[in-house]
Amino acid sequence: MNPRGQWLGRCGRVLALACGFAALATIGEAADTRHAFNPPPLADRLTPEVMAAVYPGAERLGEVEGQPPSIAVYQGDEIVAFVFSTLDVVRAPGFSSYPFDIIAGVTPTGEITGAFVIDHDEPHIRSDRRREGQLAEFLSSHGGYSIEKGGNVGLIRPDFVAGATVSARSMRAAILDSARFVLRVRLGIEPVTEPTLDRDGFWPIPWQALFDNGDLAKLTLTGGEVAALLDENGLTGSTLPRNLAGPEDLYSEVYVGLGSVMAISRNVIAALFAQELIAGRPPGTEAILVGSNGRYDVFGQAYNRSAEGYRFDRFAVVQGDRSWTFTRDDYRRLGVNMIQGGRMQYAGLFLIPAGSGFDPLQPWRLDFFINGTSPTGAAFSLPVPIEYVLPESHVLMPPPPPVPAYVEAWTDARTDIAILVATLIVLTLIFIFQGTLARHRKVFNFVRTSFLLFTLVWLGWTAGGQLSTIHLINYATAPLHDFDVGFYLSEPLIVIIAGYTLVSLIVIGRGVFCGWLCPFGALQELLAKVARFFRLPQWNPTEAVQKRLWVGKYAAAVIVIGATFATPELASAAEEVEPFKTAITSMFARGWPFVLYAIGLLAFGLFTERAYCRFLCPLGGTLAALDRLHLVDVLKRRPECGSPCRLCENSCPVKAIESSGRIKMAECFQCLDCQVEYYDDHRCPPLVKTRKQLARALGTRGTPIRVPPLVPAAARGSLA
Amino acid sequence: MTVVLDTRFRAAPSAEAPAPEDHAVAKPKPGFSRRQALKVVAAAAAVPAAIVAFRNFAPQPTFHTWNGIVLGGDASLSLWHPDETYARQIIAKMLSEVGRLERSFSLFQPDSEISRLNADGRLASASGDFRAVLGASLRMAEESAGAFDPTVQALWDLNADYFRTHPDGAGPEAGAVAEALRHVRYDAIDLSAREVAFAVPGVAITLNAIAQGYITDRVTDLLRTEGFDHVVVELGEMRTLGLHPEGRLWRIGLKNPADPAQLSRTVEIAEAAVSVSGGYGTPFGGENHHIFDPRTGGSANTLLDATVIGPRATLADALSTAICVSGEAGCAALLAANPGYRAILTRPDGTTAEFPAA
Repeated sequence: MNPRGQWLGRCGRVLALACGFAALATIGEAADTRHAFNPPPLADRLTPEVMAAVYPGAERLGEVEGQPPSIAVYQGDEIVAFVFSTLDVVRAPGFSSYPFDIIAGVTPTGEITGAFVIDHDEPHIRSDRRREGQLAEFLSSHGGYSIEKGGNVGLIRPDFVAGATVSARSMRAAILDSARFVLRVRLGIEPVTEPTLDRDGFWPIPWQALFDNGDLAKLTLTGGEVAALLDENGLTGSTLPRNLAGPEDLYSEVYVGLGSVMAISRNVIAALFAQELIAGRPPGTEAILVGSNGRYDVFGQAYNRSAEGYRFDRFAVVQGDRSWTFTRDDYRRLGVNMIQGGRMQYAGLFLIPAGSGFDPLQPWRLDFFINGTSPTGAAFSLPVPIEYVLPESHVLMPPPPPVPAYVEAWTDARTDIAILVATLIVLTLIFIFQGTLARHRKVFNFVRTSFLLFTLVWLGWTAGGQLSTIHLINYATAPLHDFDVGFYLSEPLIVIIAGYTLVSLIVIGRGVFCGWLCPFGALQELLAKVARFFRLPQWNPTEAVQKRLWVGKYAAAVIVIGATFATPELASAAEEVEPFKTAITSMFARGWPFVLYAIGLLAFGLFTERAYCRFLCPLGGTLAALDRLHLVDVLKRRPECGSPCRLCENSCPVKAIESSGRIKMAECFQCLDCQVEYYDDHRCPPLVKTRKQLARALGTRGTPIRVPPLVPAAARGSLA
Repeated sequence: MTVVLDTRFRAAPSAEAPAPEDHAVAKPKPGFSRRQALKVVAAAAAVPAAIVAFRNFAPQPTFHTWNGIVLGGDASLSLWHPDETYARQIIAKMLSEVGRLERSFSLFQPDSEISRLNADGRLASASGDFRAVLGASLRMAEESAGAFDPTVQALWDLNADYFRTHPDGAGPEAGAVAEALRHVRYDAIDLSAREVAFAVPGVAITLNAIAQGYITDRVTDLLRTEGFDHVVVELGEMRTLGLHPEGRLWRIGLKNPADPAQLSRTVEIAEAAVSVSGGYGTPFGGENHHIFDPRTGGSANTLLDATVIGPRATLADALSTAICVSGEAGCAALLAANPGYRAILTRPDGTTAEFPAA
């Protein structure tokens, strides 16, 4: 076999081996069907046998709710207890490090109702009938045990379970802790008014995440690092309690955390009721969690010696200019088997009394002392600081002030707002380039009809953006009322349209809104286009009659505005002059009187274009009254307009052009039809004349000509 | 091409400006032809037909409901409308108005107008709403000969303090009640000037017997103006607009005062406000509850509850409290002074009485 083949063969074997391991690993995973790794849903675990021990005589059970999950027990309509599984809540491991599962119940007032072990792998209990019985008896003796106040008469101590005290202790701790966490979720957390330490909150945090979050701080020193530290401080050759061993060997490892926070301590201390270790101390007592490994640990032996005052001489807690050292009385020992995965050889909680000035929300540090004797014979304590900043996840923040409802309206409507802004940009462009657009009759007609359709179908019927007199009145009378700003801002589209209408009213006139942005106006104009398509007969009043009819909308405006200052009933009745709510906002889904009124107006509009807008609309009346202020006349006129030519007057759909040829801007809807005529050299008589003269002069017929220079309305000279 | 009947608007033919060549203006005809008349009728009929079709095609209206808490009590708004976005926006609009009024009337908010008035004994510039509600309270106090009195806050404070420390006690001592009663006098409220002030130090007011009605009215009125036809407003008091969308009267269930979890009866109303006052709402313990009789200093127990139905929630709210305190005897006079309002009273034995008698 050549070397290449050998190499391939080796590769193949390695590959096969790897595959084999992978397969084994997969089988191993799949094989672990033990209860703790694959528990059935909580509801399925509540068998009659279990419930008889946990809550005898339960009438009815609720659904699984909350995180951590629990099931409510009902008596009638009243919740009398919550049933939970320790596996689901704290997943506490027993003596064997395999998480046991105990179903237990707690009343809303915090009393344990009963407990039942459904799965465990405790070596000293498993397959020992007597101890199994003792354990059940021990757990059932906790019926009525208050998680706040503690024991009750007849409570059996954990050492009753002969030879399995650790198992019994950790099971009881798991029940009590779980009950506390379940109640906290089910009964809600008291709202806080200032940042508050979240002592009782609990959620599982994996070991590595404890360090990533900053829940635990860790210091590791090798022999080499300690030697370097000594050198830096001029202590080369000092005598240390433990020799440094090799430069790569671990000398000290120190873990620090705020132990009074259950979410930290309960995730480090696996098998004990962390709260129990602090119990008996006044509220506000803080506990510093300290753990250690290595040749030189953080605990030392001094705390065992009365000569040294039972004082821990290898560390101090420092915050600001204050520091705390600890004696044996402040120390709650944690055995290695109580620590998750036995990761700390020595561990304990150190209590700081309430009112001693320690603020758990502020950063602090643990000074770890390397004690020794210098070559000159002087004793030294070289501090190595471990900084600790409590992660924000353990601080309950006061609820932020509620977001005003109108803010939500704007975020919810952001798509609509974007579409509307785009629409208004298009409309602005139409007005800027109206001269160019009006030169192309077909293009213009298409643009206008499309825009009106969009105004009606999207703005009106889909987005509900129909401006109404009531909005104007609300805005105008804002200084008189002390309405909240949210009252005006709750309807984003209306606010934007009202703003655009105000600006366009001042610059160009009321026609920009009435002719382009009013959905009901668009509905009327589109119906009028249909009517024209079917050549329905049209009726328009004489100029003199029309002048009187125009007054109708001013009268309507006065009545509606006046009614708002009378009673609310009158105001809303007067408001119904506007068919907007019926035809646009409610899409005709209203009572028949309203619908019939709207139908009547629309039917009338078939024969007299925009009859409602011209003669009755209070909103139009208000805007028309203000139209007198507008700054710019965009509509172009010629000297011939009115005398002798009356083409535009004739083609104006709303008859806003007087027989004198003057456009009555207050009545103009800016439909730009007159501008289309103005630029049409086959319709506008002066243009037709010029075109023919030019054609004659050039000797050709029908040659397209350029439109003559534009003459402003004010310049009434003769056409050059 | 538009056919213009009115000759005045026709383009005048002119020698210089000949009639446009490619668009002939149709000549008006004298009067309607049969064909035109048919068209007019057909078009006029097409509009309603199209709209009826559109109504079925368009989104169907439904109730859009908001639930929350206003002035410490459960509150809800139900609006019947086809457009959810619009309804939600209007609800947001109403809530900003509710929030603003709470900043006037809430005893829970330390910087509300009422809290500042109670703390300082004076309020330099009261809002229009505050003056309106206080004014209505004083009118009701006059009408009810003091059975309704906004200055009972002193009794509330006394009882709340007492029952906080004596949950099972019989009630504050007579001496303490007499002392508190010295501060229960609505004539100490001076509303005549720009500044609202108490003429007697130590007086404190509560507007809880009327402010919820006022907020209910404000919101209902605004909703009507916004074009809602079928509305149920429950902001401490209930008021409806229009009929139920099914075209029937609204059915309002009244709680059984002896067992508030049960309904004792249903009243049917069209557009109206319903206000119920009863001691079972906020019991302190024993016979003591939140509706005080300003004349004795104790809780009013001559009736289990008083339900008042009438056009406006502000007045219904004040009347129900006034009647609950003054009892069956004062009911007829109070209702006579306020036409349009009727009352259903539950006596301590559980029987009911209706005023005006049916």
